[in-house]
Amino acid sequence: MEESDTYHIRPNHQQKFRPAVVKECIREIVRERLSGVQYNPEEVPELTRSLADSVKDKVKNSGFDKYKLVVQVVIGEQRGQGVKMSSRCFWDADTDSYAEDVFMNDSLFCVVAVFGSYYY
Amino acid sequence: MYTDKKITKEDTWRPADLRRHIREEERGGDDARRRDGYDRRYRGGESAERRHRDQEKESRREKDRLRERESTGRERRDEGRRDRRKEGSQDRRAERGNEREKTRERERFVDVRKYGDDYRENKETRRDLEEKHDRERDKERHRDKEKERVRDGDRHREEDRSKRRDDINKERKREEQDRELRNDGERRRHKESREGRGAQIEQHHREEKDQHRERHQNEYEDTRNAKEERQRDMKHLEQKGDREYKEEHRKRKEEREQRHRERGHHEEKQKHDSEYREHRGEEIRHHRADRELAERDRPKDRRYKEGEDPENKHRERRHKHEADVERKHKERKHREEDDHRDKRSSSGKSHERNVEVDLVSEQWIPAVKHEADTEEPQVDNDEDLADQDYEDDFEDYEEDFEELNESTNEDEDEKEPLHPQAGEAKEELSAQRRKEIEAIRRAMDEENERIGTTKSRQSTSREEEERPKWSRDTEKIQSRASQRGKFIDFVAAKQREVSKKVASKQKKRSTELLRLIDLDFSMTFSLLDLPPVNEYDMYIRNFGNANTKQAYVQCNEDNTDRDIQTEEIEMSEKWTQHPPERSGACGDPNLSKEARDKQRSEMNYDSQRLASFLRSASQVMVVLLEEDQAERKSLEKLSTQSDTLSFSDGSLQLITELPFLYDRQISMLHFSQVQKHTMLSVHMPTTKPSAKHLDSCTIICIWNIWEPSRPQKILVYESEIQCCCFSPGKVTLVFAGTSVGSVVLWDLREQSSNHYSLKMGEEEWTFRQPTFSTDAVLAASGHLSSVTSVEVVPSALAGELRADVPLLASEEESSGLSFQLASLDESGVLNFWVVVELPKGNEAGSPTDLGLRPGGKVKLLHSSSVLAAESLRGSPRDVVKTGPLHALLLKFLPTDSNHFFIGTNMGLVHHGTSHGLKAPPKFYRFQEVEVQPVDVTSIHFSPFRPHLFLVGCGNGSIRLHAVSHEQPVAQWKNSTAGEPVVSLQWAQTRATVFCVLDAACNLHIWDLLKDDTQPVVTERMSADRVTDMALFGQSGKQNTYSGVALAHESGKIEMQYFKRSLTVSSTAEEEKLLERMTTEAF
Repeated sequence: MEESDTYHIRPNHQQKFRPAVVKECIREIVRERLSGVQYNPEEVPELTRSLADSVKDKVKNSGFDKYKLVVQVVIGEQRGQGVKMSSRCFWDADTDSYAEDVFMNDSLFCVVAVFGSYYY
Repeated sequence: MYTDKKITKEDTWRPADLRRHIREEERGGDDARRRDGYDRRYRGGESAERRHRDQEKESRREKDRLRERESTGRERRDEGRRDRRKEGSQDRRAERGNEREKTRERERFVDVRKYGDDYRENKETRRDLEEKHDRERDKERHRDKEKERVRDGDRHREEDRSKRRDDINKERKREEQDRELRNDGERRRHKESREGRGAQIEQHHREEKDQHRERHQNEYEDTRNAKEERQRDMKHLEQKGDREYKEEHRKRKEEREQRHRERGHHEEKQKHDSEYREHRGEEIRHHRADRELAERDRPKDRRYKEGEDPENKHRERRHKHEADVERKHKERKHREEDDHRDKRSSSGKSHERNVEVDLVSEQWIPAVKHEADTEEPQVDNDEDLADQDYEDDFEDYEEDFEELNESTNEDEDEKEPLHPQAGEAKEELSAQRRKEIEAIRRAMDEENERIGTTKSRQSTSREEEERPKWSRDTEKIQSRASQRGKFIDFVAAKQREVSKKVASKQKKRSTELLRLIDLDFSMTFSLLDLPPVNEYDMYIRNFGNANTKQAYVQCNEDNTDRDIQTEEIEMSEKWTQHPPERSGACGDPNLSKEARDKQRSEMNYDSQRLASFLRSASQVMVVLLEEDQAERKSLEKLSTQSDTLSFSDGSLQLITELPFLYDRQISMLHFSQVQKHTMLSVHMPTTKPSAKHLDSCTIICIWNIWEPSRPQKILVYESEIQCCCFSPGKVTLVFAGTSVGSVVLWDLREQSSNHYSLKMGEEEWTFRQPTFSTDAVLAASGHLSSVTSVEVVPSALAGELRADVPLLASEEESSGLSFQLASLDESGVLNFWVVVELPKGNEAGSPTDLGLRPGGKVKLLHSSSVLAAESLRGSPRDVVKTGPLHALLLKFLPTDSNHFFIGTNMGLVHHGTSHGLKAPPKFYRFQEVEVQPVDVTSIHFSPFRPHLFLVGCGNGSIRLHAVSHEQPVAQWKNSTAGEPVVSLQWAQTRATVFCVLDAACNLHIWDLLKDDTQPVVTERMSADRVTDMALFGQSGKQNTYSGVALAHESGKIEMQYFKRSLTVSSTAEEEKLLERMTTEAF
């Protein structure tokens, strides 16, 4: 397939992945869904999935066209243990970014990370 | 023949199982797929299932039959072998040798495959003819329909069919022979190469083969049915023709193929081929002839059928079973055939073998076929005989076996030699395969349609076409093996192709993009870092939820992490010592600086108090000491002095021989009314020039009479001072009126350091300038003529204070003083001043109060002014005659400050009020009516009777007035012998005693109790002229210190103490006297 050699290798400003906006999305959803929720090992897998889906949907609707999104949701129980989570990406730092938010209550902690990768 | 049959009977169950299994698979796979589009197919599948079920029943029946046969004992010789066979196919195979079996199987497989290929070729050609699958599919569908119709319709025709089947079988036999021939060649060729193939594949193919055979059978039946119904239906005719043509074509193809294949291998074969070809033509011809013959025979068959219907039926059924069994064991039979062939057993017992032999020789094929044809009836008959008994049993099952009619077609097959059966099997196989392939193709087409690209469909169909053609030899097995899943492969291949395209596209894209983009590893984002909860929090968490309650106390909320939370303990070192040594009884080596400063300030405060105390105390001490000394001196003096005054009990002389007081005349002496021991003396400026610059100044000395050695304070003023007075209460202020019309005051509390000091001789003297002066400041409101008198307006407080004033009044008591001062000048202007003490003095001088000395704290404010002269002038008749009226003296009524009394130069005392009050007597006059131009020189109110006052006049007359009466209570005209009265004062200790000093230095002491007409004592002090005198003494006490201070012209001040007679009085008498005098006067 012959195609012209013009690529949009940079998103315009409005469409650029803005971590602050995404973070707000995450925060809103997570606060709404998890406030007062107790950790229940049977419900958490489903909860995690649905959270990830709703976060994905919401971020998709935020207008980041041409972005591939990866939503990672981790919910763990708070039992006084130490937890350390980190991520590393091989990407184009100019376009790609990520947003993360942490929610905690007495019973659980929830880490939601959204990675946006620009789709050239 | 029977043996074979029996052999086949034994293992009925096993192929059945296999077939069932296969069918299920088929239904699950192909049928299901077909079902989507073709309901008919589905029904066909169902019928197949039923068939399968029936077969099981058949096998049961077969066994019964077998038992029957055994009982008849007809086939005894075969029993042993049959028994052997019963053990199972595997065992049997083992017996024969696995090796051989395998190879045989393989061979068979090859055959099958070849047949399949042939079939495919056929298919191809057919497609070539028809050019479209769809049409064929329709045809097949149609065929199925027909099949059903036939099945439903007439079972009776089956007999005809079986007859025809004979013919067909013959044909098949011929074909089989050909095939065998071919197979032999091929087998030989492939034996070595195919040895290593897995048994499993073979098994699988065997299964497939079975399936095919079955289907093939069905198809055959269909075609036969079609043949039968040719008369009715033209389509059937076509079909039949089609089929025939197909067969012919196939045969030709096979020949060609065989030729092609075997050309390189055996010349012999080639020869055979050519022979075969020749023969083939015959065969075909023969075949056709057969068919025609069969058709011609049909009516006859029918007749036959009608005649022997039950038997036929029975036989049919039985044969059906056998055929089934046989079908199942075709492979085995085939194997046996092979066996026989291999062994080349020339026993020639059975036709079979003969046929085989013929087969080998090939030239004999037609003959063999004919033989087979002829043989058929015999076999049939045999069977009929054997199975006649079971007719009835099987009638019951008629309905069940409706669908097995197809298989009954094979009845004749059994009677025929096994070769045709094998051939039939192969044909079945091919048909079966075709069906399957068609199904697969259909499925693929569907799949392709779904994919939607014509290209891909072409490619797949092409592939399908090509594969049989070109990869026949090499891919045969593989294609067979994966035949069922082939379409998936195509789709996958297509998908692979598509994905490959996409991948390449993406790869190109990515390579182009990667030149533009830098990819790098991001930083490691820390998504969550949750530290482990420490032990305490864990404890709290666990126990916080438990049934325990925790309470804690925290002093310092911001120091929760501190271990020690109590306040720091302050420590300091202290010591005490008893008895105290040197610096004290206690101490603190390391006092904080702050504390030390604090202490110091406290100490300073204390020291101030101490200083003030010491000052006061030292004064007292000095006074006491001086008194003591003065008393001794005076006693000595008294004792030594012979010329002591008659009234005097002793005298004390103040030391006035001071350099600055030298040759100064004392114009005035004045005692404080509160502090009776304080006296001031006014020293007039000296006329003699001296070295001191103070000559022109008036000096006022403040004395403590108990401390006669030196004056307390020395006040200086530049001009002549006419009058003086002390502040009420404690002696802190001195007021003076000057000849230049100013009122000045001194604040005795000012520090001596603030004033001019002069060292004279060994002593240093401080000369105090006035604190406040009205000199130039209050010109408008001040006095324009010399001030003749200043008086403190007495207040009620002052009166009280007089009774009991402590010696050392605190400064606070006197500091807040506020009182009025009145000053009277010669012109009769009476000014009232308010004495104001400022809270703090200004060292730099006040910008507004120009009369205030820098650092001074007391000032005068002019409050009001009364022109006393007018009231004086408005006095009765004689005012005009007497010329200008001069106001000479001012006195206030001690009990009421609103009443003031002004002594004039007309001998009258004017009574005025400050607030316009009207007081009855306006004047106090002489007893004589006429006004005399004499000065009133002195007015003095009685300390005991405040409403009584004495007036001394310049003509020497003395009047005693009561405040309420114009006329005097008493008047003494010539007591001083005409000498003007200089001063006149009541005694402080006795109410009826007063002293009068006249200008001739005569001191007259009156005691009205003793004598109210003349003085009791008159003393003439001629030696040194007395310029002024003042009486002193504590009125409340009857002590001896009441006396008179005499100021001499020489500047000496002499204190004369009255004798007891003058000081100690009987108060009651005096009161009575004064009372009587006042009442007598009016």
